[in-house]
Amino acid sequence: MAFLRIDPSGAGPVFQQIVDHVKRAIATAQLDPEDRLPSVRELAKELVINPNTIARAYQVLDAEGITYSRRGAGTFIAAHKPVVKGEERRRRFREAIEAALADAFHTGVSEEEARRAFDAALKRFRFQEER
Amino acid sequence: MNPIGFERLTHYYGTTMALDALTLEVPAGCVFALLGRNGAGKTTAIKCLLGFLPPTRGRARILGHDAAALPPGVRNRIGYVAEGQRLVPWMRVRGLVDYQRASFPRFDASLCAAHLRRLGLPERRRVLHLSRGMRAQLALALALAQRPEVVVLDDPAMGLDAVVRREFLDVMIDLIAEEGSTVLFSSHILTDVERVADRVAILDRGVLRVDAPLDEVKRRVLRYHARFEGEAPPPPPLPGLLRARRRRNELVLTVVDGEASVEPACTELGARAVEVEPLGLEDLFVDYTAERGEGAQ
Amino acid sequence: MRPAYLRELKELSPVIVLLVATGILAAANLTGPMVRQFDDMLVFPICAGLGLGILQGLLDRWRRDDLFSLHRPVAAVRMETARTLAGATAILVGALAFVVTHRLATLVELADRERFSQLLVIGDEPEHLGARAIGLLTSLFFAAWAVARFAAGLARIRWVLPALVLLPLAAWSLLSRVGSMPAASVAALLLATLFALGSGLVLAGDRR
Repeated sequence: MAFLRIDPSGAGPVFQQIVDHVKRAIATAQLDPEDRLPSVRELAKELVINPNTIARAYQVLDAEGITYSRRGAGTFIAAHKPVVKGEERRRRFREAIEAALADAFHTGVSEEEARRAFDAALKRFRFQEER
Repeated sequence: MNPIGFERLTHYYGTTMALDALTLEVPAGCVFALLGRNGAGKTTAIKCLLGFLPPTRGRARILGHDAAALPPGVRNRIGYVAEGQRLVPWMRVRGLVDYQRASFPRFDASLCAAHLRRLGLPERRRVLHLSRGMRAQLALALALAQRPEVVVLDDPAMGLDAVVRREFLDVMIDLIAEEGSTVLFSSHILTDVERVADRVAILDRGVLRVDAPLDEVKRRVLRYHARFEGEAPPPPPLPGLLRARRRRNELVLTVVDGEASVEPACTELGARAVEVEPLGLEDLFVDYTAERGEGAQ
Repeated sequence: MRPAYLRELKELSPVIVLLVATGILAAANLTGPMVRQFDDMLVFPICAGLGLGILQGLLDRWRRDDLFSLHRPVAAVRMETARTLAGATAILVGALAFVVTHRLATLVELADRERFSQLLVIGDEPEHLGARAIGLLTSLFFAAWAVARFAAGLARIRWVLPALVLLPLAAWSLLSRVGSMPAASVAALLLATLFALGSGLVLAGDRR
């Protein structure tokens, strides 16, 4: 799996950091459907954190349909299916955009810079065709 | 029934109070970190839990038994590393392992041998000639070789360097992943605690201040930075205010459950902006237990 | 209990060596007519040994810091028994050394007393006492110390046991000495015995 850095002292619960990282890795094509995630124990030892935290992250990922688990075989990336309804999806997206732009505003990023960054990210991420 | 429980456990050393009606439960399979400054009562609580100190009032419960009247056989199921990891100084490593094996029926000799091989401990060396780090690792290996249901560690990382501490964590992770044992440990190395603890408790001069899952504590205890135009005013009276510091134009407040109250209170005092800073466990702990800042409770 | 006993015995090995030395020196110097010469001098190391042993027993009670050894699936009483048995073994080995040396001394007496005396015997008259006496007195000190520690260990098991051990010892030593000793020595011996008994009872009150 792609280089995963978590910060036990940092913002946000560790299991959430892992969930977010996996989601981002899928979106940026670093993880493909059917790829196997490291076992709970492997990842716990590599990151030096409690295996229960890893297990919890995997549970969340399973629950959100991003991964699926097969007993004895491990946890795998699911084929990407948008599970959130259209309206909810759009709302979430708008909120995320506004949060990011607010951040940019307060840190003194110009409109031009923001637009360029947005375009660059669009290219890196792997989006579905408009449906 | 939870494997470990404290029921209003109170202990006095003569007239000095060490623990004040400590009440907490450790559920099965939980990795529980007991935190507190030096002299807060952690070792007292652990000694009471293992039946080495009689409680003045209340009781401690381990594996369903009253700790003060622990049937000897139950000790077989408890792995314990005492503070300082003294072991038996004059014994050789080999002799010590044999002594443990003879005393504990559940002792897994091959597991212990595997641990020792990994640690590279020379069998013929006397315990007192081992470095502190090796002694600590040996003590842990011996305790875990019992295949205990409950593991109690009193400041296992005291005085150990970063490499040894990392190995400790590695061993603990294996333990959690494989055996699902219940672990209660006290530590000052909060960055390590942050990595492995499920729940934390903070003892402050014998009194329990916090007892919650680690994630929850970090979610509820936040630091707020309120920026003012001119000189920062004295902090507002807020319920849950732990620590307040004033820095020229800024008021830094550490508050529990302050999402609803802090921002309005600061805005009322004239703050231009209020920023929220989540805290790492070490900062959180310091704000909980350090000297009270002005206006704090 | 066996591993605990063996471990305690190993830990006592320096004490065993000292007790053997005591046995040998005592047998060589304190039997027969020689004993009377040393009367007054003997009291003090014995009392001191007893006193130190009792004091250590009391300190042990408060220390209790060997948590590693205490955390064992064996009843505390059995642990104490193992420790006391090891102590008894040590004292018995010392006594054995005494008996063997005494036998040898009797045998040697018939053959080569000259050479034997020069090795172990300190002197015929108290005026001859010098540096070599220190060995004898020190070893007596340790013998008394070992007995006191042993009594303290017994107290942790059953409080009557130290009384059973020390009372006859005290009675015998008093009865066989009282006539020839100055009052101070008698008083000291009495006090030491009472102190030993009293402490034994106090120790017995703290059984874990």
